[in-house]
Amino acid sequence: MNSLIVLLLGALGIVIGYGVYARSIDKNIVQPNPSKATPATMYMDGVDFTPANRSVLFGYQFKSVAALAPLTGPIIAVQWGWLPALLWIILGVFFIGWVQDYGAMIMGVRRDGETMSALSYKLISPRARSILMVFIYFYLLLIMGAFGVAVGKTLMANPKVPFGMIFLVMMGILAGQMTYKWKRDIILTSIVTVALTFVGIWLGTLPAVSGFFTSLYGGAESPVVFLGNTQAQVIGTLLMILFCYFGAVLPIWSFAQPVNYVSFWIVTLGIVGGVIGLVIWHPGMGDFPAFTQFTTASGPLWPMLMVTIACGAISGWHSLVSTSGTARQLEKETDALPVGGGAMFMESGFAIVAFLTATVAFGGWQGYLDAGGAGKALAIFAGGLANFLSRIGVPQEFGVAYGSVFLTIMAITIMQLVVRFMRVASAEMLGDRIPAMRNIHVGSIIALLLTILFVLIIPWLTIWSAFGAANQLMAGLALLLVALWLMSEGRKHAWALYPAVFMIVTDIGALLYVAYVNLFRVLPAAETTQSTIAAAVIGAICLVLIAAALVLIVDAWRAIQRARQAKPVQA
Amino acid sequence: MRTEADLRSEHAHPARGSPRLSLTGVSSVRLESETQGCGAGARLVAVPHPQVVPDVSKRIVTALPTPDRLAQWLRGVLRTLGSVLYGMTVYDWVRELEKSRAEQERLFMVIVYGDLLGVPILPPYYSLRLLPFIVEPSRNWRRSLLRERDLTDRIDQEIG
Repeated sequence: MNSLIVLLLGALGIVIGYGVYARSIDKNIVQPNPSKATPATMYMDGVDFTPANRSVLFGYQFKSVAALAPLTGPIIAVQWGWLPALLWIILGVFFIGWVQDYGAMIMGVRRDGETMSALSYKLISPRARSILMVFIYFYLLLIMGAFGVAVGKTLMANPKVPFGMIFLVMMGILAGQMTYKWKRDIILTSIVTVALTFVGIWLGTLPAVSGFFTSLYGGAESPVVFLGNTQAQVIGTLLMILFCYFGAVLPIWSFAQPVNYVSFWIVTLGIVGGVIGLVIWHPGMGDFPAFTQFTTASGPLWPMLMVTIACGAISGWHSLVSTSGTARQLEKETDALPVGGGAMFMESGFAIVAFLTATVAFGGWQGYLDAGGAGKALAIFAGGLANFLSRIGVPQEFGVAYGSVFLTIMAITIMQLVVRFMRVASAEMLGDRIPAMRNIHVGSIIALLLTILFVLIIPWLTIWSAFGAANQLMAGLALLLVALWLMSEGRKHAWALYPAVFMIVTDIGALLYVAYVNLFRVLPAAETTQSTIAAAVIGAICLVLIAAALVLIVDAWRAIQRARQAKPVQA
Repeated sequence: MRTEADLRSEHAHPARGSPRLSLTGVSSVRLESETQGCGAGARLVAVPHPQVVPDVSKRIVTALPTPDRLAQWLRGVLRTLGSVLYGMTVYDWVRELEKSRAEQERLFMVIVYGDLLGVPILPPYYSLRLLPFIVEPSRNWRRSLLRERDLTDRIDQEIG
């Protein structure tokens, strides 16, 4: 199949999904009222509640939800063949993805800007809040692990990448300095810092600079130094941890935000350039099979494909952002669909571009396997993007380094924010019993030590599956909350309840599969301490997440019974 | 659908509203007294213009894009794109600065008007001078300060 047809199919899915299905749900069931005061306008305090224009919020929501996952998930998932992966991206976002983002957002608006935990407390049960907290903490840990393995062990271990990343961070700091201290115009600041970052990425590809990192990594064949990890992987991980530490402890305006700002331009220019190159080139899939086999290295197609492509089809992270952030800034109820639903549909477009880097950029199935297959999804994305960019005249070598820095940015910008959140989470949960946990350095270091443990011992595909399952289980729970809220208001709820049931069954199935494989297959056969710890840790986390989810489901079932018996109250 | 206020406005300022020979066929409104029902009153009734003939060619001509309309549409698209870009880039920065300012204002309010929240502060003379300025924002200030917060609230505070 030609790549342009895939792009057209994706666009068609988005147009019909948004224009017909989402609009009809919005108009006929939720019935937003543009003249009704939203929490942002009622409780405007400049801190939590601030009304903003819907176009601005659309950009904010998209930026907050799009990270590494929509780019890597589809590349791993094409190991089952291109057809199941493409179908899941299009149908997943059509029936489930936007429902969660939009549902969580409009629920937040109608419920006075309450967040997920407050909503679970009121709609499910009092203990649901505490269980959700535990769930979220482990979920965040898995984000750190999955992204950390990608960045520390793969991307930063490439000697052509670290210099570009260091340069990017320096440019971020410069952007902050130019804006806050020197009071320079934002356009000038952007041009200077982004241009210099590109120069930095290019400098990183020069033999003199990459040679320095090669020697730092112990030569072209980096030696194994710790728990089966090479010197390059250990140093790459430590560099990543250092970035995250600064991002977590420094004021957000001085480090994380300016770095994210410069990163935005690097990523956007890469995507725009890649899509233009793809359209000019418009290659076909060659011998890429529509379907390979039901069970691959990552497990059976159901449920593992669904959790492999998390963001891009559906992601639990979005419900957290939608309720805590965006729902409190919506100026009108009618803005919820273009902001929440629109950003989700746009993210699925991101996933389709990533899907094409795997299926068409290397000429077909053999090219995909030669480039590393599912196990080297990041290298495939970087190489695929470089192939697309080469069509508009970007040198291949620079393109690969650029693609790698691009992915590193996508991961690190989220990781440093997740560490901030984990630091706060540990302070809230343990601060009363262990006062030291309230210290920002202690909380951050503990979160980062756990991340190092994950990164250095757990294989990439294993942690990715566990992360995907936890992420989507979070989405399933959010959908369940939306369905409960709709029931409590006496509105039609099938459009949220059925996706919730599907996601919960699928994700618990995926977590059970990952736990089973690790505890009953990998653990008994483990020959090294590393693989023993890895299998035990992942298996245990999966079981904790399943237990937490089951308790929430039992409580939610009781809440559904209560909602059915109670007289609905229209908001 | 036009509201009563729209109809009133069009009646009062015909040039500002839709043209006399509009596609909806409403050329004017008249005030009618309402005598039936629970209460007496007046209502506006849309009067269809007797000469309205659905002219397809006119409709097509009016639907065709003129340079002015195209320019207006383009301006709208560029404005929307600009807003989206702003949301993706510096909105976070601006919001963070606004949050910092709001936090300082909160602190100031606590220092000066803490007694409104039960914090035992003796109201000084200047509190009374400033009182008229805080009457309106005080409700949201109190709600914001006393609102129960939990971990998921911090997602926006910490990362947004």
